[in-house]
Amino acid sequence: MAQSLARHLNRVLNQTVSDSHLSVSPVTGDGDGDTFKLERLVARENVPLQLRGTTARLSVRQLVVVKDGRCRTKSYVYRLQADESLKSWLMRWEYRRKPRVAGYPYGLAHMHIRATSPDGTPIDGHPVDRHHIPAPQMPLEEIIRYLIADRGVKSKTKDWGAILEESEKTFHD
Amino acid sequence: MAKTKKRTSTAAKPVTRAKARSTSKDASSTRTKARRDTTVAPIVRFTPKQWADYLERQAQREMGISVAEFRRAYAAGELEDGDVAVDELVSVLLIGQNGNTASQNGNKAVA
Repeated sequence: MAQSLARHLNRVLNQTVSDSHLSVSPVTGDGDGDTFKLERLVARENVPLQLRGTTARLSVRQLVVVKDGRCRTKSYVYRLQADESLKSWLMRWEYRRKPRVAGYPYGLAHMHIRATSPDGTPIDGHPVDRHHIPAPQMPLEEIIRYLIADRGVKSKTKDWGAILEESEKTFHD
Repeated sequence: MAKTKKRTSTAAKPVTRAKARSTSKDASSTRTKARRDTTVAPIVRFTPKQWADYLERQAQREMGISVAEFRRAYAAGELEDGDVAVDELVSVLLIGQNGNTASQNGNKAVA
């Protein structure tokens, strides 16, 4: 089931913005069901996806649990980077079904933006990139749409809009 | 007619091989399948040792500390949650998921 989801996402990625593909790693569960991690692995190392027409990279790490024949997302991190290095991150979309720790004060779905205030000073005591900006749970397809429409990533096909729309119809919760 | 067919078939081979080579970089465990179809998602299994080594490498690479030290510091609230390196390690260590608390590892990769 998790492999089917990964294959589906690989098909969407490979039809649009990337020739890289996601792998699946089983992780022992906690009673929720079978848990799997979806990410790009090269020599067992997490490596961001290459994107067509740019040196930017997209790091994807999605944790899914399979239960009763359904795939549910437990967490994800989608991170747009200027290059392969973590330090070059530009935007991050993050979600987790459960809080990291008791009393976790931030929204379970949020994003981070590498931005500064107009005069470069922290806003409300925190650098802007540390703010947990509320965001809805985001399907990967919407990230791909953003990359093509706004970030200059080249799609393999002109039909990318239809491909993403069709794929989103099958997006699981 | 037969000649044309033969030429077509030999000309197609190098293209197929080159395509297969370009996909063999990712996840070597199911290399053969990946050659046939790049959208196949290979299953990569870690042994407990490979998993532990992987986590240690990540912690050293992103924060310059050990997994144990990271867990202690995170549980003590000494690390800023919005920091990208902290986020990355929390995600890799599955803290708050699969029975993991910040100070305790409750899960392993399936070997």
